[in-house]
Amino acid sequence: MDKGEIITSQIVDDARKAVEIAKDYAARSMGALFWRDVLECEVVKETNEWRVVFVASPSILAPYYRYEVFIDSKTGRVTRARRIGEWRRRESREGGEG
Amino acid sequence: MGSGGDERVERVERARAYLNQSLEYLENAFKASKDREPEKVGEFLWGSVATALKALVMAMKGMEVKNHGQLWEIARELARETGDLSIYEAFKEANFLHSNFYEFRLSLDDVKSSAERIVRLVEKLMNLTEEALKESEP
Repeated sequence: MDKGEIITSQIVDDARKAVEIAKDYAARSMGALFWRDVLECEVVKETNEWRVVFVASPSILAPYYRYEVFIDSKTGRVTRARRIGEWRRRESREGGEG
Repeated sequence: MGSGGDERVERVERARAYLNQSLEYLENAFKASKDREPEKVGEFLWGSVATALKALVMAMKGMEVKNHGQLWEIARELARETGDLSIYEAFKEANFLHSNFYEFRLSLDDVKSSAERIVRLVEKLMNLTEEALKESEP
């Protein structure tokens, strides 16, 4: 378990809750202090997990990165998380990612 | 803020506006010093630091600093990130001068003894902001 992680058990039945969990996890366990935006939020039917892709930054001078977090929809626990890569400002939900 | 090029332009414009404001406060601080008004010197120095921090956060993150508490967090975080603890120390001094505006206890010499470190902080913040703005040019 990551340092500072709080054991919780909650059914995640909507995207807003999934994003809240991802946001909290990003700040506490991934060091992503500057939250910017959510790029994708969807349920992965095969595993019954929420997949949240968001943009955040670990510090003032660091660039923004894309992060991906998977959340068990039955327990609300983060099962996997990773930093995908640097996010360019020209990327947007409307314009796609390049 | 919007996305893509519009956002970049808006971010750069806002950051530049904060930089100009910060410089103006600095000039006002020097004028107030000549007029021997320590409380005004301190308040303008504080204003210059606060707006320079706002410029940096806007340039780097495209975000507005919303309150006084955030300024403290950003100064702490920036000192930690750069390893330059003088950033936080000078920020605290500037904040102390800000409180002097209301309590009026410090002499002009007291204020001047902090001013040099605070001006250096403003310069550092402005340089970091300029670098960030250069990198964001198309």
